[in-house]
Amino acid sequence: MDDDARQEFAEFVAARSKQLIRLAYVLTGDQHAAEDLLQNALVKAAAHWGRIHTAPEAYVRRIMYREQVSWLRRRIRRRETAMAQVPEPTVGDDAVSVEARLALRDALLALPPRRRAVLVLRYLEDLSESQVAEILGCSVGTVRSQNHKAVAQLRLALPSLGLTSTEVHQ
Amino acid sequence: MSDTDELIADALHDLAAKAVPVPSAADALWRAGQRRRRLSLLATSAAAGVIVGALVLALTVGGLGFGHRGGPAAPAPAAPVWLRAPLVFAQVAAASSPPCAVHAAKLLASNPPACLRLGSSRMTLTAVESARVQRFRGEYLLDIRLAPAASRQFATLTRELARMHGPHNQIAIVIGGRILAHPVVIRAVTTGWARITFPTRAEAEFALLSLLAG
Repeated sequence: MDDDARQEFAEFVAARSKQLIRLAYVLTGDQHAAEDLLQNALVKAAAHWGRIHTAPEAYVRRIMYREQVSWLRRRIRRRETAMAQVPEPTVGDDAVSVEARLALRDALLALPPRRRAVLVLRYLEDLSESQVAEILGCSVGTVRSQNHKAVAQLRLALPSLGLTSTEVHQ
Repeated sequence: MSDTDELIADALHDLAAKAVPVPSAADALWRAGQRRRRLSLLATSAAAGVIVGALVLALTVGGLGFGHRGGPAAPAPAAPVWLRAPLVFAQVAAASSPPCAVHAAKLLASNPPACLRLGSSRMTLTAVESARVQRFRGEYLLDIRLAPAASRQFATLTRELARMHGPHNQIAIVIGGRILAHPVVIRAVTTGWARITFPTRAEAEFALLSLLAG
């Protein structure tokens, strides 16, 4: 029984690690932090495997989202900001799309964890506001306001890239 | 989907593509998960025990009238961190592959599993000055600060082991009867810090909890 469960877990980790580390990276913006986040979520999944083995990925993703926006994790990250990666300089490329992407990526990385998590769930995972609220354990209103603030914050990065206001409407 | 939505989605996909795949360590994660589950059960029982104990103490002290009388506070003693289980540093006398002999301890966490027989050169601690987990160069360290007397003893032990050849130059680190690691000692450790390296944060934190949680 235990060996079967262990085998199931190993297969899940082997099959889904690549996707999960990508999600963790988007949430944290840092490889080491992403590995920590994923590792912690997988350990928790292993601890509750008997209960969650029918849908482990949803459980792992939920843990990652919630851990990333949790109060304690934010405090730890604040202490670690001195060691954070130096943002990559923008390249001297004339192509607006390249510059826009770089600026947008920097702006995404600068978002507070909860706002970034909302954007990831809405735009990367393509989930509805109610689904996002359920995963993050908050109200739909909170999701809406966090989404609005996040997009507004990102807009600040866009004017310098030559995009007109009509192109950035929600 | 608006242009902004598409831009954001693209940027998120770009960001995701920068993630470096991690090597699978499913076995280590599974073990850490099972330990976490057991520890959680233990903590729940311990918490229940503490609550019951506190209630009994409160009733006893209250009932007998031994409450605090408001006298001058005693000077705060230096506060050692008392360990949940004895921490033993012992020389490895022999190492072999399983199955283990009767007097050999099985080191389950190592890869491949190893059987160790511990030598007579050893020291046992019931308290330390501090213990913490920190990340260093992609690994997780359990750093244990030893008290001054223990530091001197540890320096003597590691100096003795550093002069020897394998496997006698290995030091087994045992918490509560379980061997956590058996690193090779290459020089005397005179800093007063004992350091154990783990591949995952979960394993390092579990070791810390094994040491301190009670």
